Formats: sequence, C-alpha cells, structure tokens
Amino acid sequence: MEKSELRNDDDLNRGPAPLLSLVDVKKSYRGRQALNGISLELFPGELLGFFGPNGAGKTTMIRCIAGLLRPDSGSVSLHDQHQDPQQKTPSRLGVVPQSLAVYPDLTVEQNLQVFGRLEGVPRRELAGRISSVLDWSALTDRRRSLVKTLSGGMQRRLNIACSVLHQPHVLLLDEPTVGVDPQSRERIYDMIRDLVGRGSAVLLTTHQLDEVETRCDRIVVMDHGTIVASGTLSELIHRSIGKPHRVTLQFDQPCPKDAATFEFDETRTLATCEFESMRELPRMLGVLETLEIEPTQIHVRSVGLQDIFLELTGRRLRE
Amino acid sequence: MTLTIFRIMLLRLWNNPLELVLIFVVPVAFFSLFAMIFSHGIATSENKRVRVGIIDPGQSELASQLVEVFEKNKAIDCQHPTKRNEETSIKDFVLEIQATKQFDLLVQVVPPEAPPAEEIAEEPAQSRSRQSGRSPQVTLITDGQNPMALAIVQAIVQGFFLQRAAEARLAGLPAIEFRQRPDEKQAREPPSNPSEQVPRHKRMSLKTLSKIRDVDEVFTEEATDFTDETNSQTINWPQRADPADPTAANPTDDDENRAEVSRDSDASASEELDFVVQNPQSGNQQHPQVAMYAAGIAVLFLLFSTTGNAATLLEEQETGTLDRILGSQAGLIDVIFGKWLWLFVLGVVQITVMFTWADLVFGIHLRDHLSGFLVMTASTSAATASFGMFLATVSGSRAQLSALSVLLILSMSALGGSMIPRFVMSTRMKEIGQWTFNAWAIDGYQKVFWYQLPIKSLQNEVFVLCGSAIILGLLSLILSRRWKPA
Repeated sequence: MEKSELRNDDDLNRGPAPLLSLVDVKKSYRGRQALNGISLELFPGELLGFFGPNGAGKTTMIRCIAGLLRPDSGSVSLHDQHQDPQQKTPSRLGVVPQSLAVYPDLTVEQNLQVFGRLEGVPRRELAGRISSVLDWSALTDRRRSLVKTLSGGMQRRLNIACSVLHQPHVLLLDEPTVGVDPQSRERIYDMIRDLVGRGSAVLLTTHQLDEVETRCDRIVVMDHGTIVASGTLSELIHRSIGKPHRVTLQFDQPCPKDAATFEFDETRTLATCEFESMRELPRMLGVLETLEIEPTQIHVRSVGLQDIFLELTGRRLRE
Repeated sequence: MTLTIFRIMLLRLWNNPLELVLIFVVPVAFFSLFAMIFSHGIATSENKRVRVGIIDPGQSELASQLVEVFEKNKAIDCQHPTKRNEETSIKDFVLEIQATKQFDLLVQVVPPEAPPAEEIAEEPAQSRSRQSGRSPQVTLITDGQNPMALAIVQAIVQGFFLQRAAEARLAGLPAIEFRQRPDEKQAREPPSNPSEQVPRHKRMSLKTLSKIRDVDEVFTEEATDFTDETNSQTINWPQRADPADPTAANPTDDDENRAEVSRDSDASASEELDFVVQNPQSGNQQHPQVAMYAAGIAVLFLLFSTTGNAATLLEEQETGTLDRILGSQAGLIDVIFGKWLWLFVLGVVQITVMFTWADLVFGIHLRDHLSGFLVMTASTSAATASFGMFLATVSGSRAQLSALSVLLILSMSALGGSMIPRFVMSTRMKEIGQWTFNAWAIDGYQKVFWYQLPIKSLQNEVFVLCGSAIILGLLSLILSRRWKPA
C-alpha cells in the first residue's frame, strides 16, 4: 500500500466540531522542512497518540500549536479561532513540555500558584483550582514540599498539573511518561483519561508504543514532517501491513517446494504468511503436510505498532 | 585505574572551552590588569604625579616662588584651576573642583599684603592668628582621599619655607625659632573647659618641621589625621624686627606656650606663616571614606547578584520553563521586564542594606544624605539590572554567562574603583575606569557622602547610569527576540 494513501487521513465520521484543527501547516528551519503540510483535527473526548522517529517534526508541530512557533504557511485553529503567536488571549490550550518545566526551588503549591496566574486563572478561583488539581495529581500530601525533593514520578505529575489549572479544552503532552516507574505511569494515564472523560481533547507524543497501542483512541504516525498514517490501530495495520497476524516457518535448508499462501525469501529458508484471524491458524499450518521437509521453527505472532512503525518509517537510523 | 580517572578529568576539561578560558585565560587577564594598574597607575611614573591645583595664587613674589617650586618638582603636576566666579564662595568653588577629581590637592597662597583667605572648612582653625598685611598664608585643601599627596605637598611647602628661612639666616636676618608646641599627647588631651575644645582643628606638633626630611614619619604619624580633620600649624617666619607688630606685643591667647618661648628668644625678630590644612568635607561625618568603600563593595556584589539572578532566564530556557511561560498569557516583554524589575528592586535593597549597616556601625550619616543616596541607588540599581539582563540575553548558556560575567565584573570592579581606590590610579587608568558602572556609581556616592554636594551635582552620574540602563535594557529586549515565536 502506498504511503501517500495513508496521509492526512481523517475520514472518520465524527459528530462534534473539532477542538483543534491544523490545515496544511508548513514550517522550515534553516532550509530544512520540519513540517511539510500537516493537516489534523482533534475532537472533544479524544486521546490522540502521536509518534514518529526522532526528528520527525513532532515537537515542532506542538510548538506551532502552542503558539511558540509561527508556521510558514497553513493555519492552526483552536475552537475555530486562528492561533496567532503575537496575540495573548485567554487560551483553552494546555501544553506539558517534555522537560520538567517547573521551578525546583519552589514548593508544589507555589509552582501551581505562579503557573496558574501565568495562565490567567483569576485570583479568587486559584486556591480552589489548586486544591482540585492537587487531588487530581495525588500531590496533596506534598503540597508544601520543594519540588526538588519529590520523586521523578511526582515531578512529572506536577508538570502536568501546572498545565491544567486553567482547565484547557485541548492538552498537548510531549512525552509525559519519560523516566517514570510503572506505578507513576499508570497514575499519569489515569489523570489523562480523567481529562478525556470530561470532554477534553488530548494530544500525546511518545515513543512508548505499547502506551499508544493500548491507551489512545487514534494514532498518528509522523515522519519527515508529514503525517504518514492516521487512524485506529486496526486501521493502521490494514493500511500498512495488511493483516494483523503472521506465521513464519524457519527451515535449516532451502525448501524445494512452494507452500500455498506462504511466501519464501530469497534463500528459501524462511516462509511467511499473514492472516486476519487466529481461527485461520490451523488451516494455515495444514500446508506443512504438503512440504517435503519439516520446518525447524514455527513463529506465530500478532502485528504490533512496532511493525507498523518500521513498515512506515523504515529501519534506517535517523540520528 | 588512577590514570583512567586522570584522563577522564583531562578530557572533560579539554572538551569544555569555557572552563579552559576560566582556568588559564582569566587569571592571566587579571594579572595583566592589575599589573597595568600598579605599574602605570600608582605614583611612580610621569602620569602619576601628584596633581596640585593652585587657586587664587596672587601676584606676590612669595606665591610665585612657591608655584615655581611646584612646577619644577617632578613629583608635582601643578595646574591652575578655572578662575573662580566672583559670585561663588571659595568653599563652593573648592567643592566643585574637588568633585571633578582633577586634582589630588589644592593649594591656596595668600601673600602678606592680601586680605585673609576665606574659610573653607566650616569651622576656622583656631590657632590661626594671621591678620591682613602681617604674614603669608598657605592653605592645603584636601578631600581626604589621598593622604600621600597631602604629605608630599606638605613636605615640599615646608621645605620651601625652611630653605627661605635658612637663606634669611645666611643673609644676617635674626635666627629662626621653631617653637615647640606642648607635648603631643598633652595637646590631644581634652581640655577641662569644653569651650576650649577644638572640634576639628587638631593642632599638630612642630616635630614635623624639625624632622621635615623624615617623610615616613609625617605619613605614618600624622597623615591619617588629615583625612577628616582640618589641621593648622604655625611656623614662625623670620622677619626683620617690626615694633608695630601687634602679635609680638600681644601673643595669641591660644598659644601661650609659643608666647613663652618667644620671651626666651628674639620675639621681635619673627612673623608668622599661616600654614593650614583644610578638609571641607570633614564637617558632617566621621568616616567619609567608609561611604566610598560601601559603594565600591555594594556595586561589586550587586553586579554579581544581578547577573546570577539574570541567569535564571537561561536556566528557564534550558529547562523548557521559558517555553511554558511564553506559551501562557505572559509575553516576552513581560518576562524581560519582570526580571529587570526584580533585579532593580533587589539592587535597591542590597545597596540599602549595605549603607544602613555602614550608617549604624561606621556612622556615615545616611539620613543626612537620604535624597542623594536614593537617587544614586536607584540609578545604580537600574544600570546593573540592565547590565545583568544584557549579559543573560547575549549569552548562549549559563556556563557562557558565568564565564563572561566573572571576566567582565572583576575587570570593571578593578578598573572602576571597587577593588582599588581610583585616586591611586593614573589619569589613563582613571579614564578607562570611566567606562565602568563602578566608577560612576562610586563617584556619585562620593559626591553625596564625601563632598556632600547637592543632588543637582549628580546629573552626570545619573545621566550615564540611567542612560546605560535604557540602552542595555533595549539591547536586552532586542537580543531576547531569539526566544520570540518565529
């Protein structure tokens, strides 16, 4: 399947209007095209997983959405309003940077106070929102602790908490679970799910493919500044690899005879077959009776995002 | 293993050019700087002669001879300051000249036939008994900053008059009598009657005259007194006997000892030379030099604290916090101005703490100079705040800022007078020092606390400091555009 067929796919029939829209956004740095015509929509209550190789343009795209970069062309709209980096208006957009962008020598509560004020939360509402966010992030007990004394997971949760004080409708998270233990990761996804459950739209970039596979409603694969695939996991599989399951036969010598539905490699020591459902597996393996030699190994596995990712972006190192 | 650890350290240093600069270049740069200051800045060479200004020299032969002596002496750079406006009092005239710091010392020579010189210090020297038409008057006017200059010029003046006395003796004139004052310790004891107390006119022993060539002794024993006192001493000057001399017939009340000595000698054979050392700044405070040191140290540490605090901008950039702030409702101008305001307030508080301490402990009379202090503190803090922001915006990283600030601040402090008083520097080094905040700030504080000049006199310092604050502030804004959405 051609990659071009997978680009800018947004053909799902969604009811509500998108909270965030990117239309043909282009941005270049020093002659290098960082974004090459990105179009994307994010809907209420949607968790969108965004992933791609290093240097694919993910962070550039987030900076464009956040208003930290001005696209060369195209438009970024939030609530159908054009995002202009020069205009500072009360925003329903929250950005959680990849780094711990909090003040380590301030307490948890002091960080929330200053970032709440910076996001334009009214003074009279700030205390209530801080209490709410502290509960949400399970940091109430540590509200008076200096951030530098917190664990990595707590700091990550605070990093997110600082970005939701102004109750954003769209939250951008740039690799929010880097370097945290499984328990903290679960807590962070609980927080994200809670936000999504309340109608917010969340765009998440990560290299944790299992997180995207299991937690995101929709997945976008980005490479070389373009969206190369978009959709649910099964949609991506069908559009990239084809079928979700794969059986592989390994021989210790070239197999002289073809096997129906299996494809041999050049050495004829490896035969592969893809299929839709595990129920088909007995029928697939029935072909073994027709072969003159026996395979030394038989591998059966389901296709994952890793396969899709490598299929779409290739195996060549990018950096 | 040890060698491997050694190699790791070596490689880390080798891969860090800023560290290399700090370790190897900065010390050499500072050595060169101090070598320049001490080899060309302190009185050993041509441009470090004691700068003596002659005011109202008069037309007498005596004054001309003294001026000639100054002009011939290689240790003295003798100049005539601008003529005094008739409407300006001699004290204001002197203060204006001193504030320009063109001279280490001013010398006023009043010939015998001229009317007595106006008092420069607030309280006149009580030992002075000169009357018009009776004796010459030589006044050394110091701002108390350079006791070495005072000692040198004093020695030259005294030597000049001793030589004239010797010539008089050879010419057959009556013998010179160096009339010894009472023992110095005795003289320093407070009088039993407070009305007899001489508040700031400590009488000096004529020992300095009898040992005039022992310059070290002059410096060590008495030069320190010149910094905040007005001193007066009287030399009996040989002269032909004059029956009409009222001082011969009626010795001054304040020096009975002299009168007593006169009875043992030929009293009618001498007249008095009024030789006075005055410090117009000595009126209102005990330790004027403390204000200069307070200003110097305060500006030095202010520069370090402002650059240290301005470094948070780079720290925020490196951690992504700046992006988060710029993505919020705050704009770049809010960030830059907010940080500038913090640095300004921090500077004001830091300097105020320093001067409050100096006032409490060293008595610099802060409350008497509050308005001038506030003007200088605000100007200095504004300039240093902008300087800190400028360095932060021009630097690419905190490490770069650290190296740059150490180099610049220490250089500025060395040249600008925070480390070494500028009066010991050569004219050239002083000119170079004028490119530093330290020099302008210290000059301004000196005008306030030392020369006790009105706020109006601070216009140059305020103009330079506030102008620098505006220019550097604008440059900071321009340079900070690299963080602006592009």
